[in-house]
Amino acid sequence: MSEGIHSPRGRRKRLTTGHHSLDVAGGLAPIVLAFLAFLAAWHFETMSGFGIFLQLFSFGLALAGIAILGLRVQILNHRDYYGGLALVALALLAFWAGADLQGMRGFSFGAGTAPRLFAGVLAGVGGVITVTGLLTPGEPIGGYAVRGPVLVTAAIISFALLIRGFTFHLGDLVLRIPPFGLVIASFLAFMIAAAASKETRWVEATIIAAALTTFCVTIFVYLLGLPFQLWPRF
Amino acid sequence: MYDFLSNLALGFGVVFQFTYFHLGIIGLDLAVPVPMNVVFCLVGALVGTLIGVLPGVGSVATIAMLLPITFGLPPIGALIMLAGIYYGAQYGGSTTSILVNIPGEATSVVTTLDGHQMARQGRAGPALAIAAIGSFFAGCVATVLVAALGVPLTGLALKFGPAEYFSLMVLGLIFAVVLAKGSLIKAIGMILAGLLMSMVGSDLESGAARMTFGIAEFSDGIGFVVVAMGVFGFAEIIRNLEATTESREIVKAKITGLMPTRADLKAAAPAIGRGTVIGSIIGILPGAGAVIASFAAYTVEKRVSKHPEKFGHGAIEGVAGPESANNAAAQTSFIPLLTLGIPPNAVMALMVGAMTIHGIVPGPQVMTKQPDLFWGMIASMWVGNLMLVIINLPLVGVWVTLLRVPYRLLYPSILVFCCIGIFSINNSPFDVIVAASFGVIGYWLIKHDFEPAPMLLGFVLGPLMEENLRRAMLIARGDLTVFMTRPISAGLLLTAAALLVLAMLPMLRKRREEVFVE
Repeated sequence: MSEGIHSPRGRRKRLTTGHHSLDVAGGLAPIVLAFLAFLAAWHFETMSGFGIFLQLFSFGLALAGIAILGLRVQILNHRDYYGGLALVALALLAFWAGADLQGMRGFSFGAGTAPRLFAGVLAGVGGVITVTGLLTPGEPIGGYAVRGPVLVTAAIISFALLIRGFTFHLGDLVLRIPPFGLVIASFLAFMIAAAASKETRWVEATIIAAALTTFCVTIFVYLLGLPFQLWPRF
Repeated sequence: MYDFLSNLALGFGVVFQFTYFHLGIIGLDLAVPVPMNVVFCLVGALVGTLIGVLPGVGSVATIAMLLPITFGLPPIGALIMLAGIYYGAQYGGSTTSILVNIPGEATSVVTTLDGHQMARQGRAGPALAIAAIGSFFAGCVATVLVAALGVPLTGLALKFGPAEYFSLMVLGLIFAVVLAKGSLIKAIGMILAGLLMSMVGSDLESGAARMTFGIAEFSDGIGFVVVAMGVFGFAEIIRNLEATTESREIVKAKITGLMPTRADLKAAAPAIGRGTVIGSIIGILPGAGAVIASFAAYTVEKRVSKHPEKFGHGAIEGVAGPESANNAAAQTSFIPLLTLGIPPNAVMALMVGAMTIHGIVPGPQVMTKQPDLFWGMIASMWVGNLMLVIINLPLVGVWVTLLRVPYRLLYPSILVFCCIGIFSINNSPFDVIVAASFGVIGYWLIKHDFEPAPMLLGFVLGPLMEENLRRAMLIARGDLTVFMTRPISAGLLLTAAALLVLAMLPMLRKRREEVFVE
């Protein structure tokens, strides 16, 4: 996710110098993670086991990032490299989010013990995957499509926001979307999703959207008797 | 033997329970007996096939999508219907493989090799019929096997303590990793990610909110269906959209003559037998049982055949063997779930999700505490297989029409259906948004060659593993060696370690890759 969008041929921004090019994104990613690890370590007592572990981990990541940038290390398999780093990021996120939880209480596990245990192993496994990705060649990451993912996600989120209404709290500002009900939410979600494909024919899509909405209302509301609101209410 | 029969009788009694519906017609009160569970099974197999036939929709996605419609049913009915959906989805996948050459999922990949060739030679009818007959035979045998193994395995499971359970789950997860395709270490990473995500929410013992980021909706944890639909439903939609040009070659010729000839049957019969045996054995092992089973069955058929050159050009044995094997495996994969409470693959993980929603904790106690549910489900397996034959042979024409629905209309419909399904679970728009995020995560995983199935397995097993680990540690007063000093636990862990080492040996690693490439 962090590496943005690029085409299969690798139109990645590279500062080419000689035949070793500088992989900026590849080098910056572990440095960003090092920062995250440092933040997570902050939440633990400095001299506790986890605090030290996380700080060391943070230094290791930062060093790796600097080495990649400084020595112009060629990352051979970007899929595994970023995949491994993402797992490391997830583990760090878990450490950070679970820092407030109680650890071991004598013999018995506290609420935070198992998450830390699994996160620790995950960080290790993620590290191994990252190093493998750094050293063994592999296929490049295929290009990311933009239209499909964005519109599909937009369709799902529009459904979520419209069906029962939604209230956002941005500080003092309260933004309220009124409940639009099942009929409008389904129809609209269908149409937004349909826009994701280049092959969509609009007349046809509109008819099918209407038919599907009717079908879903029949099944979920009339046959299964689920308590959905059908029409907008303001 | 007597016990065995009386148990099966109990099961069939449950399945054929009649509910009386009162119909008032012109003053007359008619009580119409309806075997509701058979109806659930029939409906399940029907909708399962309906969705499973759609190209690119595998059985995990089908079950995830249809889970919400079973929520309103009584627990037994819901599980029977889900089992029906599973068989239906799997058979639907085979239909797509034979007719369109697009396998709906990994288990029917091999069916495309000879099945589609048969269809192109105008023998789609016999191919579909043999697939149905083979599946039915395999289903009958596997049902008996499940019933026979249920009691002894449950007895064994009751002797298990927390340490053994934990080790068993480790073994199960390692099995799943070794038998799945792709990189070992990445699959392990996915399992750990799933385990970690399952811990979001309230802690079982202290009730403390764990890793919720202060979001109230997370205090109940992340919903299982939400993750499954996001990673398998939405992510698949996004990925399929990338393949812009549709290259579907639906068999245009009208399907005439459903029935296989006598020669076909004679050629297919031994293949069905071998496929059933292979599938039943492999299905019990955790991991992608049904997939391996179908590949193994195909390889065996090719080896024993007197005309191996016919394979790939429409050999009926190449359809009969794998189809019987994947159905047998689909069924026997219920054994670890029903007896030990451990889901061996992603489909069974969904079943656990469904059981938990109905307040059933899967495990050995299900058989003793709810025998009607346990045996009813086993009997329903046989009924489900019968339904498949009854539904599929006459309805082939309908499925063919369905296959012609273009993807541009299909995917928005699936998307809306999934949205409503997720929303209906808790009436929570937040769940839908979380599922959307998992869709994006799933797409990213596909791009980076990570398999989502182990993550789902880890996600389901997470709470169970943690609970047993905590209990084991408490009983052993914090002594980690308990896992190695108790013989059963030590044996399970050593097996797991041995498996992992074996899978990493260069020679076997190469072989493993070959199996999945073919």
